[in-house]
Amino acid sequence: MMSCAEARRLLSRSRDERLALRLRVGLRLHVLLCQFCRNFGEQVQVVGKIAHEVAAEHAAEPERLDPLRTHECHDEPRLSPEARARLEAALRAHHSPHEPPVAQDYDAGGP
Amino acid sequence: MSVPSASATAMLDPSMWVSEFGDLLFRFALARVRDAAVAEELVQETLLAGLEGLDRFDGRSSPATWLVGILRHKIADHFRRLVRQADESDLDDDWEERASMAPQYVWRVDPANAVERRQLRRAFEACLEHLPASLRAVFVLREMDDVSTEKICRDLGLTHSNVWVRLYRARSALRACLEQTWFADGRARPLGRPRRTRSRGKAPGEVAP
Repeated sequence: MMSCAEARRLLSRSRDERLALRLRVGLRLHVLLCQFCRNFGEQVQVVGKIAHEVAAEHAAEPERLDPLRTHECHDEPRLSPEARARLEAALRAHHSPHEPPVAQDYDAGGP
Repeated sequence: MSVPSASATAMLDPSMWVSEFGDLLFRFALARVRDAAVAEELVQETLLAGLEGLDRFDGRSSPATWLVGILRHKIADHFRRLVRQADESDLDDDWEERASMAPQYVWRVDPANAVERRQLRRAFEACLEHLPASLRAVFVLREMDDVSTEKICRDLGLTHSNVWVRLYRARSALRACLEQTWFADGRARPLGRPRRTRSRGKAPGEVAP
């Protein structure tokens, strides 16, 4: 029978591709007899599911994952005002590159 | 003819981009890179690339989706740099030990409890933050963005077996982290104990699978 380490590697890999028949059969047998690896397999599925939910939550058009969620969520990460200002400035600099620079104060240090 | 939406109009005026799409792009990036400074930088690169490529925006997708598409590429570039920079020490030491820990609990997740699921997502994000960056990059692409392992190999310049090893370690470490920080806290049944207690019916707090 395959080792627990091998079984867990295959449990992970089976989320990414279809395993060869020989490996599927060996893995099935192992998981049938080993409750730790069975559990590992279930937990890896849960981890993937949560990751997917987190992605959906922050998507371009976020899915509504729960009824309590409203558009204005106070604990959602936002750009800080400073970051916002930096981004605005960077966009302006690129948006109008041919605009003359702001007039200097020529009086200072004059004759 | 459909009337252009407010955000499609905003697309034509780049001075509106930060207020219109800034937070959305920032959250999208932050969920994947887990570092506010890096996320901000990626948002800036995205907005500037959007500005340069604005004539290619044909309005078939929403402006938000179009910009997120650019952001995805910027994130993939960032991940490629991360993986190149990372030395192999990311792939052993205590992460190996943590990843190889055997499950100790049968997890209980109540799909109907929205508040709990939301807290669970926050606990997951905290665990993701602690994952070494070169493992996180591969995990995020595969499990959050559903990118195939073939494409991850190409995009990050890794071999197949290297991608599988990283995914295995990332999943094992995240599993162990969630178990320690979330499920061990009374939200799971220790493995190896009988499911039924002496009293008839369900034990208090037991949730049907």
